[in-house]
Amino acid sequence: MMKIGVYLIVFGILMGTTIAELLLVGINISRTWLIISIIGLAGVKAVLIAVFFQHLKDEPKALSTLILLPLLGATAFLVISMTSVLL
Amino acid sequence: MSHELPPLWSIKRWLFSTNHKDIGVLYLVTSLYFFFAGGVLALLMRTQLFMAENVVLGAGAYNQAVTMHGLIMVLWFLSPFAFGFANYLVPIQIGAKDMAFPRINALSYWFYLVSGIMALSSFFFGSAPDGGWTLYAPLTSSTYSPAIGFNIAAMALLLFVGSITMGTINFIVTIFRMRAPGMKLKHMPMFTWSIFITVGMMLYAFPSLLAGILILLADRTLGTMFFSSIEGGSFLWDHIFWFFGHPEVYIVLFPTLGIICDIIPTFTRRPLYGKKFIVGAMIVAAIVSFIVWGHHMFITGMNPDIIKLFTVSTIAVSLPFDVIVIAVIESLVRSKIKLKAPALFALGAIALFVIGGITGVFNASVALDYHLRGTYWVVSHFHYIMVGTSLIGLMGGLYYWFPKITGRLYNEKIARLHFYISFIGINLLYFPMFALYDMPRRISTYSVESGWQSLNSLATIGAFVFGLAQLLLIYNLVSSMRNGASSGSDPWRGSSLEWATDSPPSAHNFHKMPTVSSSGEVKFVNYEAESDGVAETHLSYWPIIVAFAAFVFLFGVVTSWIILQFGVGLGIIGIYLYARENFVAKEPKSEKWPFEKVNNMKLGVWIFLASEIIFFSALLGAYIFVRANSASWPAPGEFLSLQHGAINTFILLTSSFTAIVALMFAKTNSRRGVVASLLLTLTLGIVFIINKMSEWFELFEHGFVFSSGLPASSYFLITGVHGGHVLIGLFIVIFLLLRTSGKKPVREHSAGIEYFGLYWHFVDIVWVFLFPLFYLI
Repeated sequence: MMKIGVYLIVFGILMGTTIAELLLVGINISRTWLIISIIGLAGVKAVLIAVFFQHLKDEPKALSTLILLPLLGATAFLVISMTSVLL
Repeated sequence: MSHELPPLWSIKRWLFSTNHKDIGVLYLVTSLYFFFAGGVLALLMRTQLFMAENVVLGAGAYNQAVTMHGLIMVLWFLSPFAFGFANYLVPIQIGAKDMAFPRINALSYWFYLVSGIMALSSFFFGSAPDGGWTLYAPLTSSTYSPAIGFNIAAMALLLFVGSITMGTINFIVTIFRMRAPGMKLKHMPMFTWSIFITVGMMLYAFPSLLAGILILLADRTLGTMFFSSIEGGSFLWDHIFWFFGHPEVYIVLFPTLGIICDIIPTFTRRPLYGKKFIVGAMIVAAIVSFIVWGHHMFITGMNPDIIKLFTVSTIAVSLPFDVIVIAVIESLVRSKIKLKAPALFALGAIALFVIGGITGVFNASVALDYHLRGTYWVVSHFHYIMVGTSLIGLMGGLYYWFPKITGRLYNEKIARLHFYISFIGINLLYFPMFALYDMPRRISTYSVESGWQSLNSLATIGAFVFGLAQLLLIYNLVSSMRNGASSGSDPWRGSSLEWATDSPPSAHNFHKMPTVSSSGEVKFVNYEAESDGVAETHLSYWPIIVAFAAFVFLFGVVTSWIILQFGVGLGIIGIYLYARENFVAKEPKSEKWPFEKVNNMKLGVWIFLASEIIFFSALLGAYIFVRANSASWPAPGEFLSLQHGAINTFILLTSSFTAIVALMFAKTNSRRGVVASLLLTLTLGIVFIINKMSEWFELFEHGFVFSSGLPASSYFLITGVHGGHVLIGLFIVIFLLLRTSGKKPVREHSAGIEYFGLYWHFVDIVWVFLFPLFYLI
């Protein structure tokens, strides 16, 4: 269990990154960079929630592996299915 | 309720038992019933194909028979039959008293039973599914399969996946954390290893099927357009289905390989050759099985670069199986194997596996696959694996462990006769099909001029020979159970732990606790006295009631609003009383590496979340797939209101924070703090749902419904599924609020609050991705 201060900081970052996502939509950058930035920020938020709120940081590494395996499977599924179509 | 198990003849025992051995027997008996149901359908098909231009079954009836035969045999017979053994034997083989979650084990069985009944009942609602067991889109769309029976069968599949998920979590936790003191993973017998690897594959494969069926049902009932649109269509279904479908073949196969690897050392009286390599090969095959699905799609017009990748991965996945077969053969070389029935079945299964395996490698070649795909060649290859290997190996397991389960010996002569006739029948049935490599599969009849009649007639004779041989099995089992000679505890002089206890074992499996030394030697020491004096529970009313409620609910979804409401009511009562029940299942002193610090329940929640990752990934994958293939898509803010999405993001993130605060208050035993933060979490969750509903209603008012194109279809379906998860979370919060307002110190509820938090944060993480994918880009 961590101190309330840590949770508050994480909560603050989560709110801040959400605001950053909203601001990104309004600025003039290429669509590719917009997608990379916004999905990247979502990834950061997900990792923060998993590591601090779900306490993955304090759990055995085997548990993180258990979670990483389906993520790898999901990534393989997404990449292969997307690139399997001849456009 | 009494803690002791009622006698064997008591109906109460078979309805309410949570003991793993009773559940195992229930799985074995039920799956044999489905074996005969699926077998009758197969015989009907073979009768129809016996002669050219036969009229025993019409085309429609034939299509239903072929589809349901495949679904029943693969899903409701082969795997559950293996898991009958797994339920009975894995806890004993690892020296545990029971599974980690005995009630969930019972719940998993009852879900399995009612799902099977539901699937078979689809015949009586217009038409059972008739598009093949692969349920290829668009044959399964409401245009081509309009009968309500299809929806019922699809609901049955949802229930079945529920059963699988519960079983999977249970086995993984049990094997990781319930092993006898000193028993390392390397000491586990091969059967337990095979189940361990199998449930790992199930955990990551079945959620994809769940997502596919859910999308299919949405297409059929709500009008979404995933599989009926050109951007998704059959191609999308193929990806989702075969991501599940190819690992499923190994899910069916691996337990048999484990059984063979347990039987052979017992009957050769020497250790298995290369156990480490066999386990390693199984793990490699299990991992690679998730990147070979595309070889089922070679003729779909897929990107040639991806085809090359799948060709390589398909050839690669055959290599670990070579290792396994060579190791088994090496175990047999110069051995004086005792050819008792289990050994005969094991050898037969390996021989047929070689035929089935080699003929599969042909299909890794795109050029050959182009001609062989969709012909009886594939039917034959597939059945040599499914029937020749899996079923024959499992039969070997049945004879091997029959004395352990019943305490009696079977009739050896009849068992051998059963093997020989089955072996002849299988080859007579499937070998001619290789020569039918030019006959399309799934056709209900053929012309005289095709030249296929003689081979088909031979196959049909083989089918009846094989089918009738199974009557010998039933006769042998029933008569031996009544009149067989006493087997003693170890009739085969086996080396794994199940042979070191009574036949059948007592309620807790062992009279003394097995402990394993570093060299693998087993010693038995007295169990420590129960410090709390509370005995473990073996009976519960609620699993069967909850499963029945789920059955009624899903049946109601398809058929009647009143039945649905009854199912919801019964389900809420059942789940509440299930959760409130004082059921005692202890975490014994045991080997728990690598999860010494994560208790059973917490590990179970994490494993469930791992399966949820695949489930949501498959849903999001479908969304990204159709979006990437669409020529145009609404710009951010054009279709969905950014305001709704942003507000809900802030709400859900805040609710995650209040959930973690609730856990902090629970640890410090502050009841007011826990109640306040849980109430805040509940309120935020409710506001999220209200905001989501208002967004939906606004869209409805503007004419956007489920069927208004792919943007609307994907938005409504995926946010709907996520919203359902939020609702489930809110029910859990309400339950926690009720519990924490009781007299117990609130600190005692901190574990429950933590498990809820794990789930709630996961739901939050899913939304973290849904928000940008739907609203921002």
